[in-house]
Amino acid sequence: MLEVKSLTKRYGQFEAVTSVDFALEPGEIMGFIGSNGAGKTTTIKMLATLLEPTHGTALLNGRPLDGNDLEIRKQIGYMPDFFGLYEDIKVWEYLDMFATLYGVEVNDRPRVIDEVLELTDLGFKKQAFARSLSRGMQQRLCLARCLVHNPTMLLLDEPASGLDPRARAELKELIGELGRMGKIVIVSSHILPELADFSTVVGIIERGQMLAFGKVNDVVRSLTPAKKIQVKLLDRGAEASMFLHSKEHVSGTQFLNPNEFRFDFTGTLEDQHALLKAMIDAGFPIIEFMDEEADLEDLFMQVTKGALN
Amino acid sequence: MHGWLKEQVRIYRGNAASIKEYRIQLRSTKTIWYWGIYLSILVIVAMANYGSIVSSASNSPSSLQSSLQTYYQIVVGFLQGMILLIAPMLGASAIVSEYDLRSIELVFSSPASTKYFLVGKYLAALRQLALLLFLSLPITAVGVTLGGATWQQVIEQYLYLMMHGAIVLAVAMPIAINTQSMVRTISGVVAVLILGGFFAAVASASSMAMMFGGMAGSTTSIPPLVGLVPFLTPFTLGYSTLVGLVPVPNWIFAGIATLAIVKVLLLGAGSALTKVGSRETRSLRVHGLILVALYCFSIYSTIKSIPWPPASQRQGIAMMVVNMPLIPIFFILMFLAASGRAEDRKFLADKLFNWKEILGGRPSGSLGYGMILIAMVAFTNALTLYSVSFIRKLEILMLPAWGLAFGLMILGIGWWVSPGFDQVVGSRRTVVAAVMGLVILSHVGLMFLDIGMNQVVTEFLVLANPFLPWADSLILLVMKITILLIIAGLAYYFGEKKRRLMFNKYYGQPKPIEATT
Ligand SMILES: Nc1ncnc2c1ncn2[C@@H]1O[C@H](COP(=O)(O)OP(=O)(O)OP(=O)(O)O)[C@@H](O)[C@H]1O
Ligand SMILES: [Mg+2]
Repeated sequence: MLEVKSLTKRYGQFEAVTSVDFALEPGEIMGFIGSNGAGKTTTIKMLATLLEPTHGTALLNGRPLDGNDLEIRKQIGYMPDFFGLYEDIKVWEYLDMFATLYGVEVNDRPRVIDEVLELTDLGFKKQAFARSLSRGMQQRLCLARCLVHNPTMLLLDEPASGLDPRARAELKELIGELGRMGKIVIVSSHILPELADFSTVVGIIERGQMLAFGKVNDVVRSLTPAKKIQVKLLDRGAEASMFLHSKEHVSGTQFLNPNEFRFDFTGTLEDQHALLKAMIDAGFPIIEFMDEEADLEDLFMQVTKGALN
Repeated sequence: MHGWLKEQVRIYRGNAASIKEYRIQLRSTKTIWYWGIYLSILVIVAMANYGSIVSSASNSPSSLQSSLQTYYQIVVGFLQGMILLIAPMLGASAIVSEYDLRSIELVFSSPASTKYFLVGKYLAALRQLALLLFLSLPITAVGVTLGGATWQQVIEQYLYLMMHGAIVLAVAMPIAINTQSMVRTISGVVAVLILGGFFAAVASASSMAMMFGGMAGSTTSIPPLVGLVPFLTPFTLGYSTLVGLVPVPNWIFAGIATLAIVKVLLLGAGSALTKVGSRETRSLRVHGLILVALYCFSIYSTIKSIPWPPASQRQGIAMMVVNMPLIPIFFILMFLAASGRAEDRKFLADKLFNWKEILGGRPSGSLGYGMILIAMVAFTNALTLYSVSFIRKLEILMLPAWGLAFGLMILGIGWWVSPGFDQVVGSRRTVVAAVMGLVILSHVGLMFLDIGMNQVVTEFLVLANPFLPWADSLILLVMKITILLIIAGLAYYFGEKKRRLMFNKYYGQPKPIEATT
């Protein structure tokens, strides 16, 4: 379990990360979202013990993530946003080097290397020079490198940047698989939809502040002040709209056609049920009454509004 | 203990960082090619010279002999120069390439210790250097077969070449980590070599001169560490130092010193790479003390071996002898003195003085550590001078007091300058500039001496110049020390005021960042 408590990083007067709190259970995949300069990399580096927090702590299974504690690093797999591969080094040699650095026993190394290469679909490139791989393969090699020591927590800083759609899909698959293996995974990105399908939780960071954290749907709900409900009737559309506006929690009707419209609703689920019942009791011929899916892109733009200037 | 041993074996055998470097070295043979070309040119030049040597000296065997010696020394000199150039390149590229690729983050997110990484890198570079030296052996061997040198000389010479290479390589490591650039590392190493070499050469040359003068040519020994000054080796080969009654060859002392210097430099690199309160920083501080003790020993043995005749300028000379060896310490102090307000706790001036940090390494420990370094050197020197009855009892305290006051001034300036800088690098540069500026400006007075403007005024400029370790009366000495202490006090007072303001502004009063680890 990862517990982050009021983690803060200050560069002189500038606070890059301000008192971030959250906790993750094994198997949870956190989508860590924020625009450029929001503080994602800074937070991840502090969790990777590479950067010293100004205040606050982070505990992994009760043990502080301290820069001078080398043992704790065996539990962390860190993939930075930018990285380079050595010249004149082969794929398996690269993995062998890190397996050695992580203290994997000599006899286990060949097996471990084969395993992570298989997991990342790079088996056929084992003898190739790391530099000769395509961008997507290099990304996967870097991920393979994070896995040689079977860490309990993975910190992936924008792993999908620079990948084509197919490679992205494969990467998502792989990350989902890691979650199912029971690892804590943090994946950062500045694109929310990219993370939404496989993240179990999201954290939205802006100007160093964690604006929201929780299950994807909860966050969406908490951040969307009014949800949109779409109604479709056989007839009496205008009348139904007037009826609704006489009720509580309802505002802003928007007609799609004479018998179909959507409106903003701020009530609870119980209120929503009562509202539907009232409409049916009043005899309106309703054929559809549904929540509209929140558009993640819009949501992100809305949350981070103004944070960029 | 068992765990420690296992860790050591892991570091020196099958070190992943080394193996990676070896693989790269094996696959990219550029260095070897360049070296081969250089050696070929060397051979051609040597052959051409050899021809002219033989033809011009053919009429007398003894002049042929000395010409051959010159030939050998020229070859060795060229090798030496090349090693001094190649070693920093090897050291710098091993580190800087990791920064360029940004792969260093990957290494340091792994549980490999800083020591593991640095030793791995260092040994790989050292191996490459040894290989290059080995390849040059045929050329020097020619010198032996032709009679320009003996095998023993060649072996000892190579030992020294290797030691020089090892030191230069190690000098490059911390500089590379701090600058993260090839060009700046190499120029940094060159600067250190010039400064260090110059200081060591002046020190050893003057001590040799004193000895030769004093002993009227009857000497067979040279101060033990003179061989570590690269370009002096041709003259220092084959000497030994008496320990009790046993003559111990100087290369043994040089070897020990080399190990200590390399260790301290690598620890410096390690300390630069680690966070506040790391083992590396603590170890660096402890080994720094050991190295300074070694330095004290070498000065002690030099001072001891000089027959001190009663001199007219006795106290002035004693003042110089006690305090001049502090110059390298003063340079270290300029680095200790600096801190940065936006840095990690490691470089954040947390407090004026904290004895726990003397070995812990935060800025609050600088005052204590700096004073200890100075006291060690200055008092050793003073006590040694006293033991050869060159100075009086009171002077044992008075002469080192100047060094201590000067050190306090450097630290004070650092304390005053640092709160104005976010990064520690900025404060360091300013401290160096400020101290050097003060010293150099104040020495302008010295120049007037030669021009002979006004004897009284110019002498006063020299005698009363507090930055100059020369005082031929105790009253003058007390005056100088007082001036230095006033500067130090003012700097500390205003610096501390500035620091507190800065600290409140940046980090708030209620939660000053305390060491949690
Ligand atoms: N060493 C540093 N000194 C001063 N400021 C820094 C330093 N490192 C980062 N910052 C600042 O901290 C803020 C957060 O940076 P960070 O790299 O964490 O953002 P990010 O969310 O990862 O952005 P991106 O999406 O562009 O990768 C930025 O404003 C950045 O300028
Ligand atoms: Mg980033």
